[in-house]
Amino acid sequence: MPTYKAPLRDMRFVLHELLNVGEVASLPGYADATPETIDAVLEEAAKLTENELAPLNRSGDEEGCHFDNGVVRTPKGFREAYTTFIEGGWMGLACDPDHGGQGLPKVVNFVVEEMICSANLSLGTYPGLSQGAYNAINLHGTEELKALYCPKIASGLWSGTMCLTEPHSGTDLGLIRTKAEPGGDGAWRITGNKIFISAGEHDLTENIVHLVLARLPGAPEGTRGISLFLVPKFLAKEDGTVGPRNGAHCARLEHKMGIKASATCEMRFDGAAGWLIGKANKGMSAMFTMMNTARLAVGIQGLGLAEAAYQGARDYANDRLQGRALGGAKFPEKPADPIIVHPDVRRMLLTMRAYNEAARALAYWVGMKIDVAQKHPDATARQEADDFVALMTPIVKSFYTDYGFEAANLGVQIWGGHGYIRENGMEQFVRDARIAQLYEGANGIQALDLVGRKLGQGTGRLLRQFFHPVSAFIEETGADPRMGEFTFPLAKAFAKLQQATAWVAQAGMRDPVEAGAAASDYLKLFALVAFAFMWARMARLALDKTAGEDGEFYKAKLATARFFMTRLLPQHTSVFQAMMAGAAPIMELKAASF
Amino acid sequence: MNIVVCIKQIVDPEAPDRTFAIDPVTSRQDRNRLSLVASPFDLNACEVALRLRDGLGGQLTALTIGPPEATQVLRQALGLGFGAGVLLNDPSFHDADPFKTAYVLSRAIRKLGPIDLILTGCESGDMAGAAVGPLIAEELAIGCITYASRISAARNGLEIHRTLSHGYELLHASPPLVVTVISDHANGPRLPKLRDLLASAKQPIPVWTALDIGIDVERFAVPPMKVKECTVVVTTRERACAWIVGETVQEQARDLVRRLRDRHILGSETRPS
Repeated sequence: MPTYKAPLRDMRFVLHELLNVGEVASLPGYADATPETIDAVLEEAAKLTENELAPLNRSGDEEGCHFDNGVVRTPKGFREAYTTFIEGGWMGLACDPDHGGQGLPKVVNFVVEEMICSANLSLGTYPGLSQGAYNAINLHGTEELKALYCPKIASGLWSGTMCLTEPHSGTDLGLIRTKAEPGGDGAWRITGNKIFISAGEHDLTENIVHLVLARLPGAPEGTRGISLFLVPKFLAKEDGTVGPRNGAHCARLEHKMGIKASATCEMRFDGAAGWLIGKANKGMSAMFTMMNTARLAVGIQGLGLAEAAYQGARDYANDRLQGRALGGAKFPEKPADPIIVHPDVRRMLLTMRAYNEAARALAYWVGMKIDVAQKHPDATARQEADDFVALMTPIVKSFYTDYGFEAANLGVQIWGGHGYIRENGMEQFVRDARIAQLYEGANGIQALDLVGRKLGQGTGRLLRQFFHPVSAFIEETGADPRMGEFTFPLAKAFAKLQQATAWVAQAGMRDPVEAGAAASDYLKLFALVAFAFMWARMARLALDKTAGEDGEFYKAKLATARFFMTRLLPQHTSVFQAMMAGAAPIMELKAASF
Repeated sequence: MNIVVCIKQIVDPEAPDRTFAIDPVTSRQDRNRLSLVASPFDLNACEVALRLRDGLGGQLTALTIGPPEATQVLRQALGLGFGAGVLLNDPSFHDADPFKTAYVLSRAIRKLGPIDLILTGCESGDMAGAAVGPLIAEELAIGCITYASRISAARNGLEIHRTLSHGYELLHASPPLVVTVISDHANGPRLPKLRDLLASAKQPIPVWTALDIGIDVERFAVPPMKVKECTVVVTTRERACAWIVGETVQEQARDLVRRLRDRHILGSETRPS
């Protein structure tokens, strides 16, 4: 069974050498986040995830959650592991110190999230949902609600959920029917059914705080008439203790393909007391605070699972003796060579590795930009950072989960038939990874978000936050002969991305169907260029360090960069061509002919 | 109760074999490229100390000898809840044998003032000499109990749980005392709380030199060392797989026993049934 070890060396490389994470310590409120402190935190997070969370991943998948008359029980060991997690203060890592949190930068949270997702994605969904609920209440809730709920959620004693989807209303939230009526006591009465509610009911915390989308009486049709409500499982007393049961109940538990230890619930609200979060009929805006947190977190799930699959596949490829190297035996004293000698096995391992390391670099860069967007004293710097995060969110969510699923599949492939056997643990990564392409906005929706919302925003203002640094980098390194093998392919792919961007903008304005047909290919093209940019930046750093004391690490970086530039980045030409073929080949076939 | 725990920073014993290397010039283990960690038994000693402190109150201090980067193990102890940590750093402390190490530690312990209990791992995770603990007791002229797994308060002193090969013994002893600690299910190192970890990063760590702890330079210099490390070699370990044969489980068991007896892993009195 794969054993997870947090890739601390690579994480430190990205944080300290590539991104100079020490800069966040200069932002107001982050003075304690020195590189040494961040390293110490990550080392302890590694121990926690490797020793407490990872050992429960397989057993949690086998056992799943139990449902009995409205009560949900998590698998054996989950309560103890969750208690260890919250007693260590990890739930509050990035929460406000005023709420008992540790107030560490979001970028540190991203790194810890990656470790959690690698170690035990199912268990990670519980604190993950809480983080989104915390952010929404903290940003949009009244002072009273914040004072009552935020410290409890930051401590992990209470958890959170997002209750959006209804049986007839998934992607199109404008169709929701859950209603909110005045309760006469300052609270609202929420009535309706919600489905696919992760962590909707469980035995890990003493209370669960549901954030529920509902309609007020007479609210406008569609998404302009949606409001967000805080609906606790148990009503909270003023002193912060748990009061009487509220009318929020789990009606059933879904049986899923993966993340079986994460309780996915159908929730029934029977006139449950709820409190408005944000303004009436402006629930979508408050909800997107949660959704954006969640979308980036889901992208990191893709990375986390891909890393876990890579580690399992790498170790197996080094151990498994089968056949001989095509160029002659590498280990003649053994009955066969380890399968890592075979080119096709190496191709698969390098594909996983090249995506993972670029994804890690880009994700942590986005994490640092969130810190800048929230804390920088200069408004322009905050806006620019926020633009970058907004632009990258659909790319991180969509591409990371698509390649994460591909990487999990490659992991099984490297294990051969043994990968298909449950007890070996590799097939679980495939099943767990599949959901990440679906929830928090299916990946096709992410592509529409990129093309329909993000590209045109502020007449390309968001795009500039990525295009300008790439142009500057190409200009800076274009004359460096050592960088040619990295800068040249980057420049070529970047030119295609610019061309594709102009085409999508023009064609989309003419006919939105064209933009819709181009969206997924465009997002992939964008992601490949973003990864190429990260690889070129990493290669530039590594070139000067191969002779140093950790030379092998930097040589591996360069080798992986070369693999990405020559074996993965060329995909950009095919997605570019497919996209430029336009909507006609997709739309020609009549629906009745399918 | 005032407790001192002596912690040694070593090369991570969990590091892959391929990363182990010997410096061709010094013939010593090359630590440069490897991650350094607290010796595992010393972390068990930390846990024993923390549990005693949780029950009885008192002050916990971590001590280590080493270069500036050895403060990492002290910060780790502070993150676990220790009140203080002291780094002992001086060019004359380099390449110390167990006698010299124990002498330096004992001088630092004396400087700390009255100490009730001195804990350390039963042996270091790299050299496994198992000598420093008893030698500290010798230097301080106090009692020593080795290979303990748990310590609790008892009437007029401490009760020490000492694990033996076929059971355990409970010893009663009065402080001051040196106790060396083994790994046990009851003393697995706890995980630090994030809050303590962040606080530990800001806590100053004093550095004491030979002068600060009143090292007797004469004694330190001559004789240079009682233990001399002559050479260090990397051994290779061959692994081979063998199929256990037999139609039935009983036959397979007989085959396994025969093979183990042939290799003298099982004694000849062990008869397959």
